[in-house]
Amino acid sequence: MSVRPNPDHAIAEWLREEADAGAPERLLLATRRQLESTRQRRAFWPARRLQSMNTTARFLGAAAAVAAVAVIAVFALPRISGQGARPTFPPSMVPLMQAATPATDLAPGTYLIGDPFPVRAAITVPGGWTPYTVDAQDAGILVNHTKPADGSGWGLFFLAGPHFYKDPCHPQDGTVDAPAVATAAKVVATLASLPSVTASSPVAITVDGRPGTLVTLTAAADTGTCRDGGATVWQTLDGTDYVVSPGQALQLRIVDVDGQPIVIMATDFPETSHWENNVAGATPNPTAHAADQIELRQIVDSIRIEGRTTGSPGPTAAQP
Amino acid sequence: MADVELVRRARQGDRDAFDLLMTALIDRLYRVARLILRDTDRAEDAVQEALVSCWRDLRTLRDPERFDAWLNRLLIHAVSDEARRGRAFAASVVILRYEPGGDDEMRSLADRDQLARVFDRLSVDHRTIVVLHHYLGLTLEEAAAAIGIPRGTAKSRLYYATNALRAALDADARRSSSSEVPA
Repeated sequence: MSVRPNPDHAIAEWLREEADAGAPERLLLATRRQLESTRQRRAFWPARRLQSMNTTARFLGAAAAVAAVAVIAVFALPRISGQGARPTFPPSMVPLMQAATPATDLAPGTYLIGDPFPVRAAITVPGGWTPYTVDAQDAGILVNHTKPADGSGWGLFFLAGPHFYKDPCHPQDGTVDAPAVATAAKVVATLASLPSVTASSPVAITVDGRPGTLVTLTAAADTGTCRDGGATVWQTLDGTDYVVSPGQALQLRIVDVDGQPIVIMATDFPETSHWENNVAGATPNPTAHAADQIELRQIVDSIRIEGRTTGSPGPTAAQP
Repeated sequence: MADVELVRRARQGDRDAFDLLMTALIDRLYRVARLILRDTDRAEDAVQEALVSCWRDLRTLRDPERFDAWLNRLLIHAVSDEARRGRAFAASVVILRYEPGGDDEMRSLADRDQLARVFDRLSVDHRTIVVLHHYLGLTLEEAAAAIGIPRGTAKSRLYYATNALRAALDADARRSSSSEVPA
């Protein structure tokens, strides 16, 4: 005697019978052909942000240029250094991510970095730069070269929180623990202790009148054999890894802003970046960013810091 | 399961690694798309779209270990787009009262034909949940995530569709009562 099988099993069996044929060869060949002309979106650009600039953004971009005049006027006034006097940004200052969409040029001007990033800061940029992100732990801009398209991985970032990898050669081991970056001093000590990178001796500096520390982090020569072909230094909120090629250097300025330690990270090498060489397929060029390097140092000098973002709950590093 | 090392290499822009991944996975993707769309040409279009999206956005994948789930989402998205582009699919389904079978005969050719007829008349949404759950073996949670719907919606769709298919297996029910309702 035979017994009717379990109906769910019968449905699954029927589906397997229905799906007997594999993909035809032409599908594989057609897909290969299409892939040949398809470039990977760089990981720096979250897909959701790859959208054409809308009318509002275009309007805001134009408004940015107008607002920049007002902002520059404010900054052109004699500044008082020291902890006692802080700039107060005018309400008309255009937020960075409203001024342009990623991969499109910002108009030259001064832009606001603020909520959801835990610190309010302003940067003044010349032409040829593009916004990357402003989120709860990263904010930054990249130089926007057309070749390779979609930027270069070469730029300036404000970082908050424990998102530096414990071992840049083995990022799969995870990021440092929050207590290790709870204060600016601990950030400096943590950076100095990272394997696979060389940290320079800390140098006392000021950033917009606030005391800070400058550390130059250089990827070790042997990181070419690491998982990502370089030193994977830090991870953005969207999960993108920031990789530095062997021998390339980052300037890190560590500043305490009202109890919130932030790291201002600036690429500082004249040659093509890791992304350009290893992802975008660019021909390595030892002077591709020589001019950008000069501009970026000027952008770093333009940084103004107002303070913690209103309503910021506390140091990002201390959050679970 | 996709080879995680190949996924990592492909994330770094290694086209050869991606080609190996694609070659290993394309049959499964095609079968799923064809089951849902019930059309070979459109299944090919959907698979090609899913694979191109996969390559283009692979570097945005946070965790290579979750490649399979991510690719499932891309495929289901491409299939849904393809379904929307095409002619309107049958928007009704025959609901038959399901009575658990006892000592019925082994499922026959007629059963399979009846299953095919009922399955073809399910909406794309219902076929999708059936294929993900009964063919790919995804849990309700995994299937809901692949489609991008709440678990409750997935459960409701699966119950509805599975009930219709179960009923198709019951010859007595087929003969006794049938009615058409919107999907």
